Amino acid sequence: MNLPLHPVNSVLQLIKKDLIVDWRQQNPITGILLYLASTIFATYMAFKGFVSIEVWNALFWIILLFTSINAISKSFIQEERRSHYYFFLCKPTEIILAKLIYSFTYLFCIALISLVIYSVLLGNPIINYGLFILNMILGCIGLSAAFTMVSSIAFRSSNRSIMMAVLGFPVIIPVLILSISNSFKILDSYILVQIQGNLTALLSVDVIIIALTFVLFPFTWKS
Amino acid sequence: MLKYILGIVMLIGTQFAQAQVEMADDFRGEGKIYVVIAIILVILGGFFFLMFKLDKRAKRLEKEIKEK
Amino acid sequence: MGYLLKTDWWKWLCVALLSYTVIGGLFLPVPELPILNETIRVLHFHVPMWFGMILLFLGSVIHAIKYLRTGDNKSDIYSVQLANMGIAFGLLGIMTGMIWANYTWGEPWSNDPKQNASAISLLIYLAYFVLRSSIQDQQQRNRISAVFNIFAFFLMIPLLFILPRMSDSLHPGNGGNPGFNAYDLDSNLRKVFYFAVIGWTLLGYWMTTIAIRLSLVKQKLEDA
Repeated sequence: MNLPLHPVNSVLQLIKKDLIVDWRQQNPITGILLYLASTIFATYMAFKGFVSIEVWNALFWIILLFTSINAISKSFIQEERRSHYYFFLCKPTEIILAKLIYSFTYLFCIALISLVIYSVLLGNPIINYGLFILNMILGCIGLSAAFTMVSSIAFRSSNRSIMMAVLGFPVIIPVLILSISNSFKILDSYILVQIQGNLTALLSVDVIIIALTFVLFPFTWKS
Repeated sequence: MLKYILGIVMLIGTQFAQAQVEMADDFRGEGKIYVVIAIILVILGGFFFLMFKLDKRAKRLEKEIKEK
Repeated sequence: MGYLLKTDWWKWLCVALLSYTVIGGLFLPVPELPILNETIRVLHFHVPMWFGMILLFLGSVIHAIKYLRTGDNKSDIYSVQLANMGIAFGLLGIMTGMIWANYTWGEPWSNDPKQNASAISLLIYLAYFVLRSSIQDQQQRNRISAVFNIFAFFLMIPLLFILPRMSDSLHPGNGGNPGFNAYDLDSNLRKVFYFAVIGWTLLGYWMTTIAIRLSLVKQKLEDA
């Protein structure tokens, strides 16, 4: 294992490691799923009866926002004891690539599950599933990448969970605003051509986030 | 006589009423120039506050240098 | 007297520009528009606060990048003090804006996209200072906060451009509101406005350099 691995190989290995760790512990995943279920149930109790499409849409993204900040904040915080070990084994760019892929997949699965629970409880106004999911994918890329980077920053501070929210929320607002307005337009039965511009805007914000993450992550990693 | 007194009272009354109407509108009167004055004052106040803060820091430093 | 003549030229420029701003801003004729009335003159005092804030934050980010490249403590001090002054400008901008909005839009906060964007950029830089205070080790603090500074600034730029376009702004010149925009800014206003922006920003920079010098002296004192 001490031999330098091929980059693609080592990224795959890192993703696999994250998967195995999460699968064995189980406690964080179950925790997040329960968090999701209870948040959705609480919103259902609070909002049943007057959920218009606008409210449905905004609530869905807010729930996704809170779940993702909780789900992704662990991605570096759990690494505490192992971080020295990787430091010699892999390059920082490989580590961040693996983290980005893993946290996106993780968040996307959570988003799908929450969509299912949410639409069972609060109704389902989606007409155009393809576009809605596409917008959700773009939103999830932005959320997961930004929170992964913020988590690597908050990891170095003393009160991590609070720092995660304080640093993360203002930074995530462009992604959140764009994806909420896009998904509202999709629910309002716009077609692809009409929201192309907004989707590209969201995509370019995602690209900015990912590029910044790749440039800046090495500086937070070495210490 | 009574007519004149009544007239004066009414005149004062109407002026009072007018004054009351315009009282809340001071900042909206005269082309709202008072809004501009208030804003300039706020900015000046902000810069004075920063100056005092800088002054305090300089004083503290001077004290530290003296103690050394 | 000798000092006054020998000091940096841009300090004199700042004095001249700001004197001109106050005199020209208050005396030159302005377009006569309903609702705005004389408050159009606020353009020379309120709006430069935003430009100044963005320029000071930009300076802060440039020094943060410098810090990451060289690891020089001086760059960190520059970056922090510039961010500090940027926050002061932002707060002044919000306060003056709220006063102005109260008498033109009828309420201090009307969910205007530009107001929201500015409030968010202030939140980002306040978070920057919270982050700094929560890391003990000095070198780590400097590096991590520089990383956050760069990350947040480049995400703030899309915000400043996207948010006002998502919905009509109430600001003069947007969405059919009476007023001025980049294309028909009145020539009399223009005669003062650009100089006002430079003047106020120079004043902010001037005060920042004093704060930076104090910090540098303090550091020397601690090292000695």
